[in-house]
Amino acid sequence: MASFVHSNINPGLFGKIFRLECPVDRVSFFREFDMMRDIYRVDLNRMFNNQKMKLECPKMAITPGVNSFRSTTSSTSNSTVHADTMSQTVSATWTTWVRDQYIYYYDVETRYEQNRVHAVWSVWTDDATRALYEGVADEITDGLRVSTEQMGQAFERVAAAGVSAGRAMQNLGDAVRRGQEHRIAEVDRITKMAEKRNAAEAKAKDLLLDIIGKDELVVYEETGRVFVKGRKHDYIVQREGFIQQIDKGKIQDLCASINKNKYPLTDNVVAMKLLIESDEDQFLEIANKQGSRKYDELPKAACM
Amino acid sequence: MGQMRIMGIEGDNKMTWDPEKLVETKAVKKHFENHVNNPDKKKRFMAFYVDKEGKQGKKMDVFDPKAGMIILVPPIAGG
Repeated sequence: MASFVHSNINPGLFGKIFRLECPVDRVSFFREFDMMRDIYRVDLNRMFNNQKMKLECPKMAITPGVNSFRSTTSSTSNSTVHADTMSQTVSATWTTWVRDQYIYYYDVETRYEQNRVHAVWSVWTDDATRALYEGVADEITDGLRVSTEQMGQAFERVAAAGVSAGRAMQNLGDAVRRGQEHRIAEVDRITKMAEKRNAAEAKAKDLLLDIIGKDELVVYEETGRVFVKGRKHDYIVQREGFIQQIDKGKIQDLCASINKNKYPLTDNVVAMKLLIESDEDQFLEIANKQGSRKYDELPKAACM
Repeated sequence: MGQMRIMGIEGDNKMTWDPEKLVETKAVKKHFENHVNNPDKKKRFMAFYVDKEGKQGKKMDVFDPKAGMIILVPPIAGG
């Protein structure tokens, strides 16, 4: 019952059908054999499909060989037929076709490649069916070649898209990393700048301390203002904001300064104080007038 | 001892000298001249000195080694 090994048909069931319906004469037997062959053809298709799967795999492992095939046979000695005891021999071999075949595969290192190999098609069949399946094999091989080529091209496109996507992801990762590094560097730079500015402001307060004294510096640190007496007017110099010129119940805002973005704010207070005290006319010449308003009470400020 | 405070980005830079020592005085005077008489008007500093008694600021154009404390102020502009 070797022929049923590759068949999908249950040999026990088939044997029953064979015994019940198959005539015992020789013609009927070969008709039955044709049916078996038809069934076997299905099996061969499965084998072709298996071979096709192997061909689609980069590593082919086809081991064709030559063998003899003892098929189910019959004898017509009497009207009683038992499939199990039939002894007629039909020779069958592994029939092999060798064709040029293009194999496409994608390798991580070598990338996409196309190689020409020998595709080996082997079927377990007898001489009678060999010719029939030879054509089928050619047809399947041709179809497989086309589908394999298409598959290879699809692999190539997928691989190219994968490489492109990988590069895009890498670029994105690099950009994110650069952004993070830039942000860290920026925070570090701002922190250092703030530290330098605070140190500069501390030195500027030391200078102001030498000019107005310790007690008034406490007031300045509280209010951020210094009262300055000029020859014509009195002024309130603020660490931040306009210089206030005090004049008969009215405050005139004036704007003059050293570069506040560059130098400490308290140095600006010192500079304005020195200029107003020494050369008020020059100060008034430099300063631009802004808004004015009446006041009821002057704000608190440090004074000498 | 004389003292000159030059305002800068990192706070004022303090220079001291002994009026009796010519070398020290010359070095400070050179700094004074470079700042106050800078050819570029936009970079020209103003010089003031503060007396110890009144602590009133007074303008100075010529370096005086015997001035109490000289303060060099960067250019002032109207806003």
